[in-house]
Amino acid sequence: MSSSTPSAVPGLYSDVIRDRWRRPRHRGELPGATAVAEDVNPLCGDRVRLMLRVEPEGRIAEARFLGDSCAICTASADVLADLVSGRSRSEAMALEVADVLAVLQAEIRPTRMRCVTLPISVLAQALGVERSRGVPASGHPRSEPDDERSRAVPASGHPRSEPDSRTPLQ
Amino acid sequence: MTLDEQTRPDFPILQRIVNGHPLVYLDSGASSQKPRAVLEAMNRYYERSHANVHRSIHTLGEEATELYELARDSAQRFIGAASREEVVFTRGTTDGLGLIAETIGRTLAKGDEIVVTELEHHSNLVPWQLVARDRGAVLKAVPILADGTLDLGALDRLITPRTRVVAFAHVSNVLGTITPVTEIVRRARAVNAITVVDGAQAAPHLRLDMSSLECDFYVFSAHKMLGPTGIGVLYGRRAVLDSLEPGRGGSEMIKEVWIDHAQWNDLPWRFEPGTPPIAEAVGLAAAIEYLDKLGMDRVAEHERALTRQALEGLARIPGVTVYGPPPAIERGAVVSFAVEGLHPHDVAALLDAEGIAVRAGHHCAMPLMRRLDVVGTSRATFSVFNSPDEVSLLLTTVAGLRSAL
Repeated sequence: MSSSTPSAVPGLYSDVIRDRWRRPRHRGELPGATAVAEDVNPLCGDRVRLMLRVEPEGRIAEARFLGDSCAICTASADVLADLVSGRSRSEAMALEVADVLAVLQAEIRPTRMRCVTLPISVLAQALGVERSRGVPASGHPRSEPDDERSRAVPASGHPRSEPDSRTPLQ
Repeated sequence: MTLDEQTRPDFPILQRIVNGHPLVYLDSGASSQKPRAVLEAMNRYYERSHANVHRSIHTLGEEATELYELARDSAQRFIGAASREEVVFTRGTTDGLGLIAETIGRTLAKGDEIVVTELEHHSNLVPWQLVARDRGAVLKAVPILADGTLDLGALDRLITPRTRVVAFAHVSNVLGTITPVTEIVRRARAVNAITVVDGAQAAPHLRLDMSSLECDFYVFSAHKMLGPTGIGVLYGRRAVLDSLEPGRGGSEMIKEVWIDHAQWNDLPWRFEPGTPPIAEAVGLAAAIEYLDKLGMDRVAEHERALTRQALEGLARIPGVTVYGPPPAIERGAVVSFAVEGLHPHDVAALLDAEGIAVRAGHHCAMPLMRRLDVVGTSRATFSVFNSPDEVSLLLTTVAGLRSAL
């Protein structure tokens, strides 16, 4: 291994990531969301909730996110919200990590790849819930006792029941 | 000569240039670096003496066995254990805690109580959750106070006649809090509960003396105290170890075996199934010898000074929050902090760009993170080779981070 490698920051935190971290376009609650999912990155505890408003014919009219997450994860969620808006459900399902990476323009190291992929896996969960439940969403989360970390939530509900509830996602 | 001036030449890895800067390694709390003496001892063992231990009737087997058992004697002296039978080699702290949880777990009945604390590493929490689930036992946690110390007042409420185990960290891996081991042991003993102490963050930094701590079990890893990965120590008070059935079966831990039953070996081998980490034991012995030569009191003093410098310096930086006990309260060589407007992982990545290695995230202590109401923290930890200049560099770099992203 070379004894000297170029500085990690310029490549890791691209202009796109810095910009999306400072001024995310799609951060916030989404009133009238029809599909919501939330998940955490077990490596770092980062948490992302994605909210979608899917029209009856299956077009994603709007996407927003909330999260306790790092700059890379936040930028990934924000870019993903851009990418799914206006697309059909099946088009959104077909989005891949490479599509997000292409926008981020950053040299993501393997240790930070989960920061990019977390919002994408949350999108898949949200669309899975939306599809299985129909539109509009209401009622209770799917019960997933086997997987505490991955849990879909109702659009209006709280992400998880924890007695020592944390500060709301921002 | 200061301790860092004396020790730095012994650590080859400190020659590394990382991202164009000399490495500043402030992550010994996760895993420390190794002095040449440890690397050479392990190499020498592999090049000259390696064979399996205890059963090989040939010269190398005898040499390997002797080196392995000498390492046990070193560990015994290092922690002030009464006898070598009380020193069991494991694969590390997590392995040791899991082993003892499984072993004690078999003796628990429905309704028995296990007391842990809010500042536990997952390795001293999840094994007890598994045991509690299997045995129908009840798991309780001692809360922490706002200053990051344990709420000892709650002990009287939480430790009851049904309490069978009290398991807690000696030094918090997040806050650096040093828990009052003898006080907790005293209260646990009053109800005949077994005490299990996670010493992973304490063993590298504090002089240990099992005879004065008086806990039943004390568990730590070699790799956080200048030794190799893959080996740890489980100290067990002899009377308690003797009363327990082995947690895991295999070779070495038995005297005689029939198809349907077996007779257990003597201590400590009863708890060491399978071929042990022999080279790692040799490396651990070399690490202990290295620390002994420096003197643990001097090690503790050096790291205490670095910790105080970091705590006081970070507290002066606008937008930086420091977690854990205030500087007036003694703590381990651990400083957790947050930079306003930055995620801990981004803090760690930005520091890495300057060659500074810190840990970031939940530190395997998610319940504590919830208690602190944070996703994670950035954490600097100190070892014998760290210098005041390195801490100064950390402080100036952190001070410039808020405008970095």
